[in-house]
Amino acid sequence: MILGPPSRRTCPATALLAVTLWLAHAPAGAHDVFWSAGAVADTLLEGHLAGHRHGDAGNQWLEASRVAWLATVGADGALRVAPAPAAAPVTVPADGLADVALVDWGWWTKTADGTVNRHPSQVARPLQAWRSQETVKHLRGWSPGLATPLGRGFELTPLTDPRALSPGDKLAVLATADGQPVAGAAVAYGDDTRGATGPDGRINLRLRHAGLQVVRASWRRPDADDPRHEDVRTAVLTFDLAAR
Amino acid sequence: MNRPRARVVAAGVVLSASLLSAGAAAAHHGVASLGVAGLAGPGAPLETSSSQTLPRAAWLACVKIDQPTFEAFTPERDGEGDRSTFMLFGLGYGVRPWLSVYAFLPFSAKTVQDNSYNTAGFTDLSFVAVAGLRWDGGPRLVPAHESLDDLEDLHLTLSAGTSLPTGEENLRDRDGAIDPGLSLGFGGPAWNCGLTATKVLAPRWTAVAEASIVGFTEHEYADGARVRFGRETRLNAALVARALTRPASKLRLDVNVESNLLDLGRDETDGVGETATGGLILYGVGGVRLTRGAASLGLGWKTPVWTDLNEDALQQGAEGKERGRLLASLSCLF
Repeated sequence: MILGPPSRRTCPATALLAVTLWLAHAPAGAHDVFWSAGAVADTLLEGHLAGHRHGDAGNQWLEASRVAWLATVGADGALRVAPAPAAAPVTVPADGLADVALVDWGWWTKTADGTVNRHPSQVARPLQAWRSQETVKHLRGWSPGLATPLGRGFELTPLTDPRALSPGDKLAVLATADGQPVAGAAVAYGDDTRGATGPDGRINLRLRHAGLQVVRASWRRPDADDPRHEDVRTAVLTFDLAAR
Repeated sequence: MNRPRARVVAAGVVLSASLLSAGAAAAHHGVASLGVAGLAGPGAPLETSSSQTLPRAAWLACVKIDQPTFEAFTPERDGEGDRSTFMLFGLGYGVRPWLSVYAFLPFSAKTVQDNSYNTAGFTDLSFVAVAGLRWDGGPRLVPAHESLDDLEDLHLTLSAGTSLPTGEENLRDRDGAIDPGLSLGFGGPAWNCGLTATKVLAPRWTAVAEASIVGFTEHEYADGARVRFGRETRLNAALVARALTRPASKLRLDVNVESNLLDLGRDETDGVGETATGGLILYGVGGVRLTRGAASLGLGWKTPVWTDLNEDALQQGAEGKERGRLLASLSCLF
Protein backbone atom coordinates (compact mmCIF):
# COMPACT_ATOMS: atom_id res chain seq x y z
CA MET A 1 0.00 0.00 0.00
CA ILE A 2 1.34 3.41 -0.91
CA LEU A 3 1.00 6.18 1.60
CA GLY A 4 -0.29 9.50 0.51
CA PRO A 5 1.63 12.74 0.58
CA PRO A 6 2.95 13.95 3.91
CA SER A 7 0.20 16.45 4.32
CA ARG A 8 -2.18 13.57 4.89
CA ARG A 9 -0.02 12.28 7.67
CA THR A 10 -1.81 9.01 7.95
CA CYS A 11 -0.51 5.55 8.49
CA PRO A 12 -3.02 2.74 8.18
CA ALA A 13 -2.47 -0.06 10.63
CA THR A 14 -2.03 -2.57 7.87
CA ALA A 15 0.70 -0.48 6.34
CA LEU A 16 2.88 -0.36 9.39
CA LEU A 17 6.21 -1.96 8.99
CA ALA A 18 8.45 -0.76 11.72
CA VAL A 19 8.15 1.34 14.78
CA THR A 20 10.54 2.63 17.36
CA LEU A 21 9.93 4.31 20.62
CA TRP A 22 11.28 7.78 20.80
CA LEU A 23 12.24 7.29 24.38
CA ALA A 24 15.04 9.60 25.08
CA HIS A 25 14.33 12.86 23.44
CA ALA A 26 10.64 13.50 23.35
CA PRO A 27 9.76 15.96 26.05
CA ALA A 28 6.08 15.81 25.21
CA GLY A 29 5.91 12.03 25.28
CA ALA A 30 7.05 9.02 23.38
CA HIS A 31 7.10 9.14 19.60
CA ASP A 32 7.53 6.27 17.24
CA VAL A 33 9.65 6.00 14.17
CA PHE A 34 8.45 3.34 11.83
CA TRP A 35 8.55 2.05 8.33
CA SER A 36 5.36 2.37 6.39
CA ALA A 37 4.93 -0.18 3.64
CA GLY A 38 4.16 0.65 0.10
CA ALA A 39 3.78 -1.29 -3.10
CA VAL A 40 6.82 0.37 -4.59
CA ALA A 41 8.66 1.90 -1.65
CA ASP A 42 8.66 1.79 2.12
CA THR A 43 8.70 5.14 3.89
CA LEU A 44 10.19 6.11 7.23
CA LEU A 45 7.64 7.96 9.33
CA GLU A 46 7.66 9.64 12.68
CA GLY A 47 4.65 9.86 14.91
CA HIS A 48 2.44 7.37 16.61
CA LEU A 49 1.90 3.78 15.76
CA ALA A 50 -1.51 3.38 14.16
CA GLY A 51 -3.86 1.31 16.19
CA HIS A 52 -2.23 2.53 19.37
CA ARG A 53 -3.84 4.92 21.75
CA HIS A 54 -2.95 7.95 19.67
CA GLY A 55 -4.65 6.60 16.59
CA ASP A 56 -3.19 6.98 13.18
CA ALA A 57 -3.21 10.73 12.97
CA GLY A 58 -0.20 12.91 13.35
CA ASN A 59 2.41 10.83 11.56
CA GLN A 60 4.83 12.61 9.32
CA TRP A 61 7.88 11.96 7.25
CA LEU A 62 11.00 11.61 9.28
CA GLU A 63 13.50 14.38 8.62
CA ALA A 64 16.14 13.08 6.25
CA SER A 65 18.89 14.71 8.28
CA ARG A 66 18.12 12.35 11.15
CA VAL A 67 18.96 9.26 9.13
CA ALA A 68 22.56 8.25 9.63
CA TRP A 69 22.45 4.99 7.74
CA LEU A 70 19.95 3.33 5.50
CA ALA A 71 19.96 -0.16 4.06
CA THR A 72 17.87 -3.01 2.80
CA VAL A 73 18.47 -6.70 2.58
CA GLY A 74 17.60 -7.78 -0.91
CA ALA A 75 15.67 -10.82 -1.98
CA ASP A 76 19.01 -12.48 -2.61
CA GLY A 77 20.03 -11.87 1.00
CA ALA A 78 22.63 -9.25 0.10
CA LEU A 79 22.92 -6.04 2.09
CA ARG A 80 22.30 -2.95 0.02
CA VAL A 81 23.34 0.28 1.63
CA ALA A 82 21.32 3.17 0.33
CA PRO A 83 22.80 6.62 -0.18
CA ALA A 84 22.17 9.16 2.56
CA PRO A 85 18.78 10.68 1.88
CA ALA A 86 18.84 14.32 0.88
CA ALA A 87 15.28 15.12 1.74
CA ALA A 88 12.12 13.63 3.10
CA PRO A 89 10.47 11.31 2.48
CA VAL A 90 13.07 8.72 3.32
CA THR A 91 12.25 5.65 1.30
CA VAL A 92 13.71 2.34 0.24
CA PRO A 93 12.51 0.02 -2.49
CA ALA A 94 9.82 -2.35 -1.31
CA ASP A 95 11.38 -5.39 -2.92
CA GLY A 96 13.72 -6.53 -0.16
CA LEU A 97 13.57 -8.87 2.80
CA ALA A 98 14.32 -6.21 5.39
CA ASP A 99 14.45 -2.45 5.80
CA VAL A 100 16.90 -0.88 8.22
CA ALA A 101 17.50 2.70 9.30
CA LEU A 102 19.88 4.09 11.88
CA VAL A 103 18.39 7.30 13.22
CA ASP A 104 20.65 9.74 15.03
CA TRP A 105 18.74 12.15 17.23
CA GLY A 106 21.91 13.87 18.31
CA TRP A 107 22.50 15.36 21.73
CA TRP A 108 19.74 16.26 24.12
CA THR A 109 20.37 18.40 27.13
CA LYS A 110 18.08 18.97 30.04
CA THR A 111 18.09 22.48 31.47
CA ALA A 112 16.06 24.37 34.01
CA ASP A 113 14.03 25.73 31.10
CA GLY A 114 13.40 22.39 29.44
CA THR A 115 15.12 19.85 27.22
CA VAL A 116 16.85 21.07 24.08
CA ASN A 117 18.29 19.18 21.13
CA ARG A 118 21.83 20.51 21.58
CA HIS A 119 25.15 19.34 22.98
CA PRO A 120 25.58 20.33 26.64
CA SER A 121 28.58 22.44 25.71
CA GLN A 122 26.19 24.63 23.74
CA VAL A 123 23.85 25.14 26.65
CA ALA A 124 24.16 27.34 29.70
CA ARG A 125 23.90 25.41 32.93
CA PRO A 126 23.09 21.94 31.58
CA LEU A 127 21.58 19.57 34.08
CA GLN A 128 21.78 16.29 32.24
CA ALA A 129 22.68 15.27 28.71
CA TRP A 130 22.54 12.24 26.51
CA ARG A 131 23.09 11.24 22.92
CA SER A 132 20.30 9.28 21.37
CA GLN A 133 20.41 6.84 18.48
CA GLU A 134 18.01 4.19 17.39
CA THR A 135 17.85 1.47 14.83
CA VAL A 136 14.62 0.55 13.11
CA LYS A 137 14.49 -2.81 11.41
CA HIS A 138 11.54 -4.42 9.73
CA LEU A 139 11.46 -7.90 8.25
CA ARG A 140 9.37 -8.44 5.14
CA GLY A 141 10.84 -11.82 4.39
CA TRP A 142 13.58 -14.13 5.50
CA SER A 143 16.92 -15.49 4.52
CA PRO A 144 19.40 -17.26 6.83
CA GLY A 145 21.65 -14.23 6.73
CA LEU A 146 19.05 -12.22 8.63
CA ALA A 147 19.87 -14.30 11.71
CA THR A 148 23.21 -12.47 11.78
CA PRO A 149 23.46 -8.83 12.88
CA LEU A 150 24.05 -6.33 10.12
CA GLY A 151 26.69 -4.85 12.40
CA ARG A 152 25.63 -1.22 12.39
CA GLY A 153 24.54 0.49 15.59
CA PHE A 154 22.43 -1.03 18.33
CA GLU A 155 20.40 -3.71 16.69
CA LEU A 156 17.91 -6.49 17.34
CA THR A 157 18.27 -9.67 15.33
CA PRO A 158 15.93 -12.68 15.38
CA LEU A 159 17.87 -15.90 15.53
CA THR A 160 15.29 -17.85 13.59
CA ASP A 161 12.69 -16.97 10.99
CA PRO A 162 10.03 -15.33 13.13
CA ARG A 163 7.43 -15.52 10.41
CA ALA A 164 7.51 -19.29 10.68
CA LEU A 165 6.33 -19.12 14.27
CA SER A 166 2.80 -19.07 15.64
CA PRO A 167 1.26 -17.12 18.48
CA GLY A 168 2.43 -18.78 21.68
CA ASP A 169 5.83 -19.72 20.29
CA LYS A 170 9.02 -18.20 21.63
CA LEU A 171 11.49 -16.26 19.56
CA ALA A 172 15.15 -15.85 20.48
CA VAL A 173 16.39 -12.34 19.80
CA LEU A 174 19.96 -11.06 19.86
CA ALA A 175 20.87 -7.50 20.85
CA THR A 176 24.15 -6.20 19.47
CA ALA A 177 26.05 -2.96 19.22
CA ASP A 178 28.09 -2.79 16.04
CA GLY A 179 27.77 -6.54 15.86
CA GLN A 180 28.88 -7.29 19.43
CA PRO A 181 26.44 -8.82 21.92
CA VAL A 182 24.99 -6.40 24.44
CA ALA A 183 24.19 -7.66 27.94
CA GLY A 184 21.64 -6.05 30.16
CA ALA A 185 19.58 -4.31 27.50
CA ALA A 186 15.94 -3.99 28.53
CA VAL A 187 13.66 -5.63 26.00
CA ALA A 188 9.94 -5.14 25.54
CA TYR A 189 7.41 -7.00 23.48
CA GLY A 190 4.77 -4.53 22.50
CA ASP A 191 4.41 -2.34 25.54
CA ASP A 192 5.50 -4.95 28.09
CA THR A 193 9.07 -5.17 29.29
CA ARG A 194 9.94 -8.85 29.32
CA GLY A 195 13.43 -8.83 30.75
CA ALA A 196 17.05 -8.10 29.98
CA THR A 197 19.47 -9.64 27.56
CA GLY A 198 21.94 -12.09 29.01
CA PRO A 199 25.73 -11.99 28.70
CA ASP A 200 25.37 -13.45 25.22
CA GLY A 201 23.03 -10.64 24.23
CA ARG A 202 20.10 -13.00 23.89
CA ILE A 203 16.59 -13.02 25.23
CA ASN A 204 13.60 -15.23 24.55
CA LEU A 205 10.23 -13.64 23.88
CA ARG A 206 6.86 -15.27 23.52
CA LEU A 207 4.83 -14.07 20.55
CA ARG A 208 1.35 -13.57 21.85
CA HIS A 209 -0.76 -12.53 18.91
CA ALA A 210 -0.89 -12.51 15.15
CA GLY A 211 -0.31 -9.38 13.14
CA LEU A 212 2.36 -6.75 13.59
CA GLN A 213 5.00 -7.73 16.15
CA VAL A 214 6.99 -4.99 17.81
CA VAL A 215 10.11 -5.78 19.84
CA ARG A 216 11.95 -2.88 21.43
CA ALA A 217 15.25 -2.76 23.27
CA SER A 218 16.90 0.06 25.14
CA TRP A 219 20.44 0.33 26.39
CA ARG A 220 22.18 3.08 28.27
CA ARG A 221 25.84 3.51 29.00
CA PRO A 222 28.15 6.38 29.92
CA ASP A 223 29.19 8.40 26.93
CA ALA A 224 32.60 7.34 25.68
CA ASP A 225 33.94 10.89 25.50
CA ASP A 226 32.33 12.31 28.62
CA PRO A 227 31.14 9.76 31.17
CA ARG A 228 29.07 12.45 32.86
CA HIS A 229 26.70 12.09 29.96
CA GLU A 230 24.88 9.09 28.60
CA ASP A 231 24.81 7.25 25.34
CA VAL A 232 21.24 6.04 24.89
CA ARG A 233 20.48 3.48 22.23
CA THR A 234 17.20 1.99 21.22
CA ALA A 235 16.49 -0.71 18.70
CA VAL A 236 13.26 -1.91 17.22
CA LEU A 237 12.48 -5.06 15.35
CA THR A 238 9.14 -5.55 13.63
CA PHE A 239 7.61 -8.21 11.49
CA ASP A 240 4.21 -9.60 10.69
CA LEU A 241 3.03 -12.88 12.14
CA ALA A 242 0.33 -14.77 10.35
CA ALA A 243 -2.57 -16.25 12.27
CA ARG A 244 -2.49 -20.05 12.09
CA MET B 1 -0.22 -39.68 79.38
CA ASN B 2 1.40 -41.03 76.32
CA ARG B 3 3.25 -38.19 74.72
CA PRO B 4 2.97 -38.11 70.96
CA ARG B 5 6.14 -38.14 69.02
CA ALA B 6 5.84 -34.66 67.71
CA ARG B 7 8.52 -34.33 65.11
CA VAL B 8 10.50 -31.49 66.43
CA VAL B 9 13.51 -31.99 64.28
CA ALA B 10 11.69 -33.36 61.31
CA ALA B 11 9.77 -30.14 61.21
CA GLY B 12 13.05 -28.39 60.75
CA VAL B 13 14.00 -30.54 57.81
CA VAL B 14 10.68 -29.91 56.17
CA LEU B 15 10.85 -26.23 56.84
CA SER B 16 14.03 -26.17 54.91
CA ALA B 17 12.10 -27.14 51.84
CA SER B 18 9.46 -24.55 52.33
CA LEU B 19 12.04 -21.87 52.76
CA LEU B 20 13.17 -22.47 49.24
CA SER B 21 9.99 -20.86 48.14
CA ALA B 22 10.52 -17.98 50.48
CA GLY B 23 13.80 -17.28 48.87
CA ALA B 24 12.62 -17.84 45.39
CA ALA B 25 10.41 -14.82 45.52
CA ALA B 26 13.47 -12.69 45.66
CA ALA B 27 15.66 -14.71 43.37
CA HIS B 28 14.31 -14.59 39.85
CA HIS B 29 17.40 -15.46 37.94
CA GLY B 30 19.52 -12.51 37.27
CA VAL B 31 17.00 -10.12 35.85
CA ALA B 32 16.43 -8.70 39.27
CA SER B 33 18.42 -5.67 38.25
CA LEU B 34 15.55 -4.69 36.06
CA GLY B 35 13.07 -5.44 38.74
CA VAL B 36 10.75 -6.80 36.11
CA ALA B 37 10.84 -10.48 36.93
CA GLY B 38 10.68 -9.83 40.63
CA LEU B 39 7.61 -7.72 40.12
CA ALA B 40 5.87 -9.68 37.42
CA GLY B 41 7.41 -13.16 37.51
CA PRO B 42 6.06 -16.29 39.12
CA GLY B 43 4.77 -16.06 42.64
CA ALA B 44 6.05 -18.15 45.53
CA PRO B 45 3.83 -19.80 48.14
CA LEU B 46 4.58 -20.01 51.84
CA GLU B 47 4.76 -23.73 52.54
CA THR B 48 4.95 -25.30 49.11
CA SER B 49 8.40 -25.05 47.63
CA SER B 50 8.52 -23.24 44.34
CA SER B 51 10.84 -24.16 41.48
CA GLN B 52 13.28 -21.32 41.33
CA THR B 53 16.96 -21.51 41.96
CA LEU B 54 19.22 -18.73 43.13
CA PRO B 55 21.18 -16.62 40.68
CA ARG B 56 24.78 -17.70 40.33
CA ALA B 57 27.02 -16.38 43.11
CA ALA B 58 24.05 -14.89 44.95
CA TRP B 59 23.43 -15.47 48.63
CA LEU B 60 20.11 -15.88 50.29
CA ALA B 61 19.58 -15.36 53.99
CA CYS B 62 16.29 -16.42 55.43
CA VAL B 63 14.46 -17.12 58.61
CA LYS B 64 11.16 -18.85 59.04
CA ILE B 65 8.94 -19.14 62.06
CA ASP B 66 6.31 -21.82 62.47
CA GLN B 67 4.31 -21.54 65.66
CA PRO B 68 1.66 -24.19 66.26
CA THR B 69 -0.76 -24.20 69.15
CA PHE B 70 -2.42 -27.46 70.04
CA GLU B 71 -5.86 -28.55 71.07
CA ALA B 72 -6.01 -29.66 74.71
CA PHE B 73 -7.87 -32.89 75.37
CA THR B 74 -8.26 -32.32 79.11
CA PRO B 75 -9.21 -29.23 81.10
CA GLU B 76 -6.38 -29.71 83.58
CA ARG B 77 -2.97 -28.18 83.15
CA ASP B 78 -1.07 -31.40 82.72
CA GLY B 79 1.55 -32.74 80.41
CA GLU B 80 -0.34 -32.01 77.22
CA GLY B 81 1.49 -30.26 74.47
CA ASP B 82 0.61 -26.61 74.53
CA ARG B 83 2.51 -24.75 71.89
CA SER B 84 5.74 -24.93 69.95
CA THR B 85 7.94 -22.51 68.15
CA PHE B 86 10.04 -23.73 65.26
CA MET B 87 12.50 -21.35 63.73
CA LEU B 88 14.67 -22.02 60.78
CA PHE B 89 17.73 -20.01 59.92
CA GLY B 90 18.93 -20.58 56.41
CA LEU B 91 21.71 -19.54 54.11
CA GLY B 92 21.63 -20.32 50.41
CA TYR B 93 24.12 -19.89 47.61
CA GLY B 94 23.78 -20.09 43.86
CA VAL B 95 26.55 -22.43 42.73
CA ARG B 96 25.23 -22.40 39.18
CA PRO B 97 22.12 -20.78 37.78
CA TRP B 98 20.55 -24.22 37.94
CA LEU B 99 22.11 -25.40 41.19
CA SER B 100 21.59 -23.91 44.61
CA VAL B 101 22.77 -25.19 47.95
CA TYR B 102 21.34 -24.35 51.32
CA ALA B 103 22.30 -24.85 54.94
CA PHE B 104 19.63 -24.70 57.59
CA LEU B 105 19.87 -24.50 61.32
CA PRO B 106 16.52 -25.14 63.01
CA PHE B 107 15.60 -23.96 66.45
CA SER B 108 12.84 -25.66 68.37
CA ALA B 109 10.97 -24.75 71.53
CA LYS B 110 8.24 -27.02 72.80
CA THR B 111 6.12 -26.35 75.82
CA VAL B 112 3.76 -28.59 77.70
CA GLN B 113 1.01 -27.20 79.88
CA ASP B 114 2.57 -28.05 83.24
CA ASN B 115 6.07 -27.20 82.04
CA SER B 116 7.22 -30.66 83.06
CA TYR B 117 9.10 -31.30 79.86
CA ASN B 118 9.81 -28.11 77.97
CA THR B 119 12.62 -28.26 75.50
CA ALA B 120 14.30 -25.54 73.53
CA GLY B 121 17.43 -25.27 71.49
CA PHE B 122 19.02 -25.64 68.11
CA THR B 123 18.36 -28.92 66.43
CA ASP B 124 20.05 -30.83 63.63
CA LEU B 125 21.88 -28.84 60.98
CA SER B 126 20.71 -29.75 57.50
CA PHE B 127 21.89 -29.26 53.94
CA VAL B 128 19.90 -29.29 50.74
CA ALA B 129 20.98 -29.12 47.11
CA VAL B 130 18.44 -27.99 44.53
CA ALA B 131 18.77 -28.49 40.79
CA GLY B 132 16.51 -26.46 38.53
CA LEU B 133 15.13 -27.39 35.13
CA ARG B 134 12.98 -25.58 32.64
CA TRP B 135 10.71 -27.32 30.18
CA ASP B 136 11.31 -25.48 26.91
CA GLY B 137 10.58 -28.04 24.24
CA GLY B 138 12.24 -30.50 26.59
CA PRO B 139 14.02 -30.41 29.93
CA ARG B 140 16.88 -27.92 30.08
CA LEU B 141 18.99 -26.70 32.92
CA VAL B 142 17.92 -23.28 34.13
CA PRO B 143 20.12 -20.71 32.37
CA ALA B 144 21.68 -17.64 33.90
CA HIS B 145 19.19 -15.28 32.35
CA GLU B 146 15.53 -15.84 31.82
CA SER B 147 12.99 -13.44 30.45
CA LEU B 148 9.53 -13.20 31.89
CA ASP B 149 8.44 -15.37 28.99
CA ASP B 150 11.00 -17.98 29.97
CA LEU B 151 9.83 -17.81 33.54
CA GLU B 152 6.33 -18.60 32.35
CA ASP B 153 7.52 -21.99 31.15
CA LEU B 154 7.12 -25.02 33.36
CA HIS B 155 9.97 -25.05 35.86
CA LEU B 156 11.01 -28.06 37.87
CA THR B 157 13.41 -28.69 40.69
CA LEU B 158 14.91 -31.81 42.12
CA SER B 159 16.27 -31.57 45.60
CA ALA B 160 18.14 -33.82 47.95
CA GLY B 161 19.59 -33.24 51.34
CA THR B 162 20.58 -34.61 54.65
CA SER B 163 20.89 -33.53 58.23
CA LEU B 164 23.71 -33.96 60.66
CA PRO B 165 23.05 -35.00 64.26
CA THR B 166 24.18 -31.72 65.81
CA GLY B 167 21.19 -31.38 68.16
CA GLU B 168 20.98 -32.94 71.61
CA GLU B 169 18.85 -36.04 71.30
CA ASN B 170 19.07 -37.25 74.89
CA LEU B 171 17.20 -34.52 76.73
CA ARG B 172 15.50 -35.83 79.83
CA ASP B 173 12.44 -34.75 81.74
CA ARG B 174 12.20 -34.20 85.50
CA ASP B 175 12.09 -37.91 86.03
CA GLY B 176 15.11 -38.58 83.89
CA ALA B 177 13.13 -40.10 81.02
CA ILE B 178 13.97 -39.46 77.41
CA ASP B 179 11.22 -38.71 74.93
CA PRO B 180 12.76 -38.79 71.48
CA GLY B 181 9.82 -36.86 70.13
CA LEU B 182 10.63 -33.93 72.33
CA SER B 183 14.39 -34.04 71.98
CA LEU B 184 16.38 -31.62 69.89
CA GLY B 185 18.01 -34.10 67.58
CA PHE B 186 17.57 -37.44 65.93
CA GLY B 187 20.98 -38.70 66.87
CA GLY B 188 21.56 -39.72 63.28
CA PRO B 189 21.19 -38.26 59.82
CA ALA B 190 17.84 -37.80 58.20
CA TRP B 191 17.60 -37.60 54.44
CA ASN B 192 15.18 -35.80 52.23
CA CYS B 193 14.42 -35.49 48.56
CA GLY B 194 11.82 -33.62 46.64
CA LEU B 195 10.38 -32.58 43.33
CA THR B 196 8.63 -29.32 42.56
CA ALA B 197 6.83 -27.95 39.53
CA THR B 198 5.88 -24.32 38.93
CA LYS B 199 3.83 -22.96 36.06
CA VAL B 200 2.59 -19.48 35.39
CA LEU B 201 -1.03 -19.96 34.41
CA ALA B 202 -1.74 -16.33 33.57
CA PRO B 203 0.21 -13.12 34.10
CA ARG B 204 -0.97 -12.86 37.69
CA TRP B 205 -1.49 -16.52 38.52
CA THR B 206 1.07 -19.16 39.41
CA ALA B 207 0.46 -22.81 40.25
CA VAL B 208 3.00 -24.76 42.27
CA ALA B 209 3.14 -28.44 43.18
CA GLU B 210 5.58 -30.30 45.35
CA ALA B 211 6.24 -33.86 46.45
CA SER B 212 8.86 -34.61 49.08
CA ILE B 213 9.97 -37.35 51.41
CA VAL B 214 11.92 -37.18 54.63
CA GLY B 215 13.39 -40.42 55.94
CA PHE B 216 15.06 -41.20 59.23
CA THR B 217 17.68 -43.61 60.41
CA GLU B 218 17.29 -45.70 63.50
CA HIS B 219 19.10 -44.35 66.52
CA GLU B 220 19.80 -45.79 69.93
CA TYR B 221 19.17 -43.26 72.67
CA ALA B 222 21.00 -43.07 75.97
CA ASP B 223 18.29 -45.08 77.67
CA GLY B 224 18.84 -47.94 75.26
CA ALA B 225 15.72 -47.43 73.18
CA ARG B 226 16.25 -47.80 69.46
CA VAL B 227 13.92 -45.43 67.69
CA ARG B 228 13.20 -44.85 64.04
CA PHE B 229 10.81 -42.07 63.22
CA GLY B 230 8.29 -42.80 60.52
CA ARG B 231 8.86 -41.50 57.02
CA GLU B 232 7.22 -38.21 56.15
CA THR B 233 5.71 -37.80 52.71
CA ARG B 234 4.31 -34.51 51.54
CA LEU B 235 2.18 -33.61 48.57
CA ASN B 236 1.63 -29.89 48.34
CA ALA B 237 -0.21 -27.72 45.88
CA ALA B 238 -0.52 -23.96 45.82
CA LEU B 239 -2.09 -21.20 43.82
CA VAL B 240 -0.52 -17.78 44.04
CA ALA B 241 -2.15 -14.58 42.81
CA ARG B 242 -0.22 -11.37 42.34
CA ALA B 243 -2.55 -8.91 43.94
CA LEU B 244 -0.57 -5.71 43.84
CA THR B 245 2.43 -4.38 41.98
CA ARG B 246 4.10 -1.03 42.55
CA PRO B 247 7.04 -0.77 40.13
CA ALA B 248 8.17 2.61 41.43
CA SER B 249 8.76 1.21 44.88
CA LYS B 250 9.70 -2.28 43.63
CA LEU B 251 6.91 -3.66 45.71
CA ARG B 252 4.73 -6.65 45.11
CA LEU B 253 2.04 -8.38 47.13
CA ASP B 254 0.94 -11.95 46.53
CA VAL B 255 -1.94 -13.86 48.02
CA ASN B 256 -1.79 -17.62 48.14
CA VAL B 257 -3.83 -20.63 49.10
CA GLU B 258 -2.33 -24.05 49.57
CA SER B 259 -3.19 -27.60 50.40
CA ASN B 260 -0.52 -29.61 52.16
CA LEU B 261 -1.02 -33.33 52.48
CA LEU B 262 1.26 -34.91 55.05
CA ASP B 263 1.60 -38.65 55.42
CA LEU B 264 3.42 -39.53 58.62
CA GLY B 265 4.67 -43.04 59.00
CA ARG B 266 4.36 -44.78 62.31
CA ASP B 267 7.38 -44.43 64.55
CA GLU B 268 9.12 -47.56 65.72
CA THR B 269 10.84 -48.30 69.00
CA ASP B 270 12.97 -51.41 69.15
CA GLY B 271 11.35 -52.50 65.91
CA VAL B 272 7.80 -52.19 67.20
CA GLY B 273 5.34 -49.62 65.94
CA GLU B 274 4.57 -46.90 68.43
CA THR B 275 1.00 -46.25 69.41
CA ALA B 276 -0.40 -42.82 68.69
CA THR B 277 2.05 -41.92 65.99
CA GLY B 278 1.58 -41.34 62.31
CA GLY B 279 -1.37 -40.74 60.08
CA LEU B 280 -2.62 -38.56 57.30
CA ILE B 281 -3.18 -34.84 57.62
CA LEU B 282 -4.48 -32.40 55.06
CA TYR B 283 -3.62 -28.83 55.90
CA GLY B 284 -5.06 -25.72 54.39
CA VAL B 285 -2.86 -22.66 54.19
CA GLY B 286 -3.73 -19.09 53.45
CA GLY B 287 -1.20 -16.33 53.35
CA VAL B 288 0.30 -13.26 51.83
CA ARG B 289 3.77 -12.45 50.66
CA LEU B 290 5.12 -8.95 50.43
CA THR B 291 8.22 -8.51 48.30
CA ARG B 292 10.15 -5.28 48.15
CA GLY B 293 13.32 -5.28 46.13
CA ALA B 294 15.35 -8.29 47.15
CA ALA B 295 13.55 -8.85 50.44
CA SER B 296 10.44 -10.90 50.94
CA LEU B 297 8.15 -11.26 53.93
CA GLY B 298 5.56 -14.01 54.11
CA LEU B 299 2.76 -14.39 56.63
CA GLY B 300 0.22 -17.16 56.79
CA TRP B 301 -2.01 -19.43 58.78
CA LYS B 302 -1.99 -23.18 58.45
CA THR B 303 -4.61 -25.42 59.89
CA PRO B 304 -5.58 -29.07 59.56
CA VAL B 305 -8.76 -29.45 57.55
CA TRP B 306 -8.90 -33.23 57.50
CA THR B 307 -7.04 -35.90 59.42
CA ASP B 308 -6.83 -39.66 59.60
CA LEU B 309 -4.44 -40.22 62.47
CA ASN B 310 -3.46 -43.52 63.99
CA GLU B 311 -5.07 -43.77 67.42
CA ASP B 312 -6.41 -40.31 66.84
CA ALA B 313 -7.66 -39.81 70.39
CA LEU B 314 -4.17 -40.28 71.79
CA GLN B 315 -2.28 -37.90 69.54
CA GLN B 316 -2.63 -34.71 71.52
CA GLY B 317 0.19 -32.34 70.73
CA ALA B 318 1.11 -34.01 67.45
CA GLU B 319 0.79 -32.91 63.86
CA GLY B 320 -2.85 -32.87 62.92
CA LYS B 321 -3.92 -31.78 66.36
CA GLU B 322 -3.03 -28.16 66.02
CA ARG B 323 -5.52 -25.41 66.37
CA GLY B 324 -3.38 -23.82 63.73
CA ARG B 325 0.09 -22.74 62.84
CA LEU B 326 1.21 -19.17 62.44
CA LEU B 327 3.75 -18.97 59.65
CA ALA B 328 6.16 -16.15 59.01
CA SER B 329 9.19 -16.03 56.78
CA LEU B 330 11.67 -13.37 55.86
CA SER B 331 14.29 -13.74 53.19
CA CYS B 332 16.77 -11.48 51.54
CA LEU B 333 18.88 -11.99 48.45
CA PHE B 334 22.26 -10.34 48.28
